[in-house]
Amino acid sequence: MSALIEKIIKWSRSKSLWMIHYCSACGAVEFPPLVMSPLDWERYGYMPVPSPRQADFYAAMGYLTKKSVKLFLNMYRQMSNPKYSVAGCNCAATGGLYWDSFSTYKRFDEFVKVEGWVPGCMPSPDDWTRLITDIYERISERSVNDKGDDLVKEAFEKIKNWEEEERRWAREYEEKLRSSSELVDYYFEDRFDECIEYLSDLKICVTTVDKERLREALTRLMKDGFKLFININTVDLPMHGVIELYYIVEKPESGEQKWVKTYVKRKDPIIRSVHDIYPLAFYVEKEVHEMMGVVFEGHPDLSKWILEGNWEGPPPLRKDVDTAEWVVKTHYGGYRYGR
Amino acid sequence: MAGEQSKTTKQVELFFGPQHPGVPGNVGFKIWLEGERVVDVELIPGFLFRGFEKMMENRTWEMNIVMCYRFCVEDPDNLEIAYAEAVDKIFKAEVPEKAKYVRMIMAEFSRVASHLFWVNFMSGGVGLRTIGYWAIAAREEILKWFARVTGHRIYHSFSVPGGIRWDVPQDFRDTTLNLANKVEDIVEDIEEALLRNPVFKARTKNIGILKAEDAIRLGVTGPSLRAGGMPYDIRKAVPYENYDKVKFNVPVGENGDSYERSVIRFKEIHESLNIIRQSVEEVKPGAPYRVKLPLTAPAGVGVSRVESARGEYMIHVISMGVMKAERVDDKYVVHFTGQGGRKPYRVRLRSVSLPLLTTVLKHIVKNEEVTIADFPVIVKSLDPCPPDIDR
Repeated sequence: MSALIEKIIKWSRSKSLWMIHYCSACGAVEFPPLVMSPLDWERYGYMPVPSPRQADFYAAMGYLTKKSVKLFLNMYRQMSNPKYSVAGCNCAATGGLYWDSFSTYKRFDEFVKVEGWVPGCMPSPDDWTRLITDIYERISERSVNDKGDDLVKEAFEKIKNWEEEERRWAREYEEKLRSSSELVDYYFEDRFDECIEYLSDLKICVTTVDKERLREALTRLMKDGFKLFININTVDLPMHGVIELYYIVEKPESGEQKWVKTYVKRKDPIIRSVHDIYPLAFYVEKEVHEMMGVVFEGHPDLSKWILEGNWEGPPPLRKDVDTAEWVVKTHYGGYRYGR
Repeated sequence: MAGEQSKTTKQVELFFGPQHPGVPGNVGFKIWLEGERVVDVELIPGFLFRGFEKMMENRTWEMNIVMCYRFCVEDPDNLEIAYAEAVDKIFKAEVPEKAKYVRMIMAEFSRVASHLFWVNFMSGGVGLRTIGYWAIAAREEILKWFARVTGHRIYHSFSVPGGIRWDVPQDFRDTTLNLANKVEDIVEDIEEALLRNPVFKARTKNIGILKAEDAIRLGVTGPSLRAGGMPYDIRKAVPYENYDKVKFNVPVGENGDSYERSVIRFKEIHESLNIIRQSVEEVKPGAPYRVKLPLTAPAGVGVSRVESARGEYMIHVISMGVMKAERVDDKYVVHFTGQGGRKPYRVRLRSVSLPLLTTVLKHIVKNEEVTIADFPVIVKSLDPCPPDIDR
């Protein structure tokens, strides 16, 4: 190939970076100023495109949740060669702020070869612009025959191993919980409709109800005008052997809130579902089930939802599940500052 | 209905997102189609899940400031205030007046920036991309102002427990008023171009109707509820900071369609700028702005309710000491005693976008004929923020 053609190929490759339009994390919030008004990246030949098949460029914009990484790898295989990836933000380089998060992968270069890094949280648009001008040189240095398919070979195997590890922990946790002789040491009295605690500045009234009477209580509150379902707050108390549940409902005319407090035993956390009284409870109960391990009787679909693809281990918000230690052990080799 | 096949037409199951310009960020949907019509929708969340509630238990009160606002990247300051307020209550801190007003200014600019960001999505979604460029230009002015006052463009860590992080610059009043005027000018242009545009009207009027009584039943708060005709705003109903000392209106719609939700957001921008103009006069130079808090918190519970750009956020923070339940004068009382420690025991946040993308979308596609072309426009008109569903 003549030198001139080679030069033209390199020039055209480097000056037409078409990125997958995939805003994977919070770094994407700086992309509208880059692509639009003040900086206008299109003058560099950059463009976001909707289909991976048209794209040859990917920017990881921040933290890499496990579910997003799997999706990214799938997209990366569909991109046409040669393709280049860059990692933006600290989280894609070291885990960053989320170093102890059990649902993110810590380094982007464990999966693909990274062409350039942008440090900072958030990196300013100027940093990103510096990256794209640097990338030109990097791409021009590459050989014309370089396929540019930089997927790390053992990427999928790594993910499989990590997930296997999580499943093993989940089994261990369940066995431990079953064999433990945790006693319930918790004082509770059903005093429904009476405020045991009143926060006057927030108009919040906390009341207690036995879990058998919970549905009855919520039905009555619904009739009294507490029609807006806010949330189910859960507090795990391993020293007392229980999980406290606060069902929060609100009266939108005045802003009053009722917190209906009840509890379930940690070893056998079963409570009746209230999704037919409040429709939103359907989804909140799903979330509480996967995070806390509370089982809602009568709920039609308690499958994994937010954690699906993110976490296979034991219910992560339980207090005796030390996810930070587990992350340091599996992702940083046991040494916290090894990241 | 999901997955079943009706007798006359065949249903098609389709994945929509997360890698799609029509979805609001990194979130996916599974939709069922009969011909062009969307008959059912199911949310696929989890692409942004980081496990905040667990991570915040591993960090000290001070370190958690940088965690709390990452729940929603588009509207960070309202979350910052929610956390700061909750922790103030645990420490029983008397926040100085100046700090309260500065916090309000931050929150309102954050709301304006969030609504402008939404204009970009919405106008892009109906094919009017030029207007999105104007909105981003206006937002850029706000980000520059944030960078000048707090040192950061997106995440500010400015409202901290006990007040604000540091004093505001000397020319705070002038720059703030200038910015408010500048933004208002651009917003008026955008209003004229977007809300009177026949294309925009055709794509949004009488589409995606959500009346107030349905909205409440489905758990919706914020602009989407107010567009349906219910003037419910936490800033009025349960005032926090100094919202009871400033004058502002709560804009209300009637019909609750996509168009009205858009109008409400523009009206809210003007109200926010009014609040900013009133508050900035109360920020006195030289006044105290922060009380120093000890490292260890007393035991207790902190709750805060904040009206963000999308609805009611609620943060519930527990500082655990020794929990005691006993009877006092025939009354059953639970209280925490002793020292709580340097870290929260539990932090729980309410997700405002969860009803918007689950119950509301299901309600809309069941009650009117939504075609696949209208679906992204309806989703965008609700202005959801996916990271706060996943956390």
